Amino acid sequence: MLEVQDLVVTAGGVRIVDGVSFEVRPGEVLGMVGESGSGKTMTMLAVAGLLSGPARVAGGTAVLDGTELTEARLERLRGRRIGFVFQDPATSLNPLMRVGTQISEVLRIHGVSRGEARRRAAELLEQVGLGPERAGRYPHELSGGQRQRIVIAMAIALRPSLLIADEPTTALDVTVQEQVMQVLRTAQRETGAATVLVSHDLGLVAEAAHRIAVMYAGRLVETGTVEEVLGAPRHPYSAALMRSRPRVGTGRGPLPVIPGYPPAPRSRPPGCAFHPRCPVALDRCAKETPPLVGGVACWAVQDG
Amino acid sequence: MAEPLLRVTNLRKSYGALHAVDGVTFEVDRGETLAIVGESGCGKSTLARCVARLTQPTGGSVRLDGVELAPLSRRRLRPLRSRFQLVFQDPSTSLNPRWTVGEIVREPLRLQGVRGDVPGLLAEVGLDPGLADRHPHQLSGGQRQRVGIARALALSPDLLVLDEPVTALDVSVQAQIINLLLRLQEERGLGYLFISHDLAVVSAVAHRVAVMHAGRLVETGPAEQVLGRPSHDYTRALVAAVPGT
Repeated sequence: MLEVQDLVVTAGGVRIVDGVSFEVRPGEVLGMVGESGSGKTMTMLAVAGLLSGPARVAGGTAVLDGTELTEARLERLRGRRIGFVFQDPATSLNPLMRVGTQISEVLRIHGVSRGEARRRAAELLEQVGLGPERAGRYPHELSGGQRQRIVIAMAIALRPSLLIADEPTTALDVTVQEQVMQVLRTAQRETGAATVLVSHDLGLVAEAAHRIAVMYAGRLVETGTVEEVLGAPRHPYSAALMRSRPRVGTGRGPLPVIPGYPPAPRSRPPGCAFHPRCPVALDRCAKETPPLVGGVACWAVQDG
Repeated sequence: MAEPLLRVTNLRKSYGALHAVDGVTFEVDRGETLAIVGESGCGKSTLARCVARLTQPTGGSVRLDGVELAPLSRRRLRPLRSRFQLVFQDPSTSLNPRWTVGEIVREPLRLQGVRGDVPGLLAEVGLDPGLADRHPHQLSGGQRQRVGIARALALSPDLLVLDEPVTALDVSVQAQIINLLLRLQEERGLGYLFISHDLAVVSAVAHRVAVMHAGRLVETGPAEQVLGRPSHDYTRALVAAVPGT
């Protein structure tokens, strides 16, 4: 189980992630959604200790199965207890190494014998829907979807207790997207890993996640089950976001829009960062930041 | 019967043995949006580039208002350039980073040696004319795409070729740009050739949809028919693969 408490990430004095708390139980998929700059990827990079550049954790804790994830521990836990699938499989694969060897390497590094690693690699290939003959291929000899399957095999090789998938199918075509998501869900079920699926795609999250966390301007604004958040969103931002999403079959015509743009981290308005774009904002919203109470961070909902 | 705004007949573009566009035929009328949908590598972007004459087709015909564009040299094409414009997917790579917003929108006017109303164009696409002095990196993704659209409108074209114009944008910004495109089409009577892989976006903008697969159009028809009751297997697979619908 992953427990994140009051996580704060800063970069150059600006709060990129501003007091985020959530839990993910074993076997559960949490869909983390939000637009660019909302902090969803930064949150998960911080949890995994993979922040780079000026970004650093400035507060809060992340605990995985009772063990606090500190810099020092993360070095050992990544790969073994925490698996990753990123948007671009090319960043996770070595272009000069056969993919079967890359899967075995993950196991070898963590003490598995050569023969056992080779046998497990073949099993993992099968598990992600690739034949054993693919083991001898180089990444460039595989399609984008196949490469992402290799990355999934590597991510689950050591049966991690936390799986982080950040836009895992965004770079893939729709028909391939569906197959790769299927592989990811099966892998997730079989390992029983607590899984965080970071995505901008509400439709994808609706199909793959149990619970959803919506981020806006560095904060969690709403959490709940998929049915609650997508079916009956309570935060005015989540509600407006669902309405503004085009759907196949609704027919040609204007979409309900949210006026304005999401704020950049260094120019976030005080109080609730959504208040300048919010149709139901109260006076209070411009002054005080609403806490997340009962799954929603909104004065209008809490006071109303 | 009057000529359609754009008539493309048996258009082909080959790179050696690779037939990226392999005999494509369609029409776009004034005030109408034809969406070309398909996955990456199906040839839809090459098709857009052929129609916008960023690349020379290998064969076939492209007629704008009855005038055949395909055999024209660059020089003879220039006066016709103002009639059709291209809007790209990624506004950050299609806008010169060293120029101001005003300079970017004025550029096509300068090239054609005509006067134009840059503040008016910015206002028309929902940008504060005060942004004319800014550089692209000082704008949000949505604002940059508005600049790209203002530039495309500068010469009052009849046809816009839009290559994945909202793909790089967030959901809330996507909706704003879709609405802007719908409004501009109605006000100016523009024809749109709208290239996209996203069937939900296409559903919101297209009158007609053509599905492209391996360089060919496999199905063409009214949007509600193609997306609602697809007849080709490939279209059915595409529609079924859209998550959360």
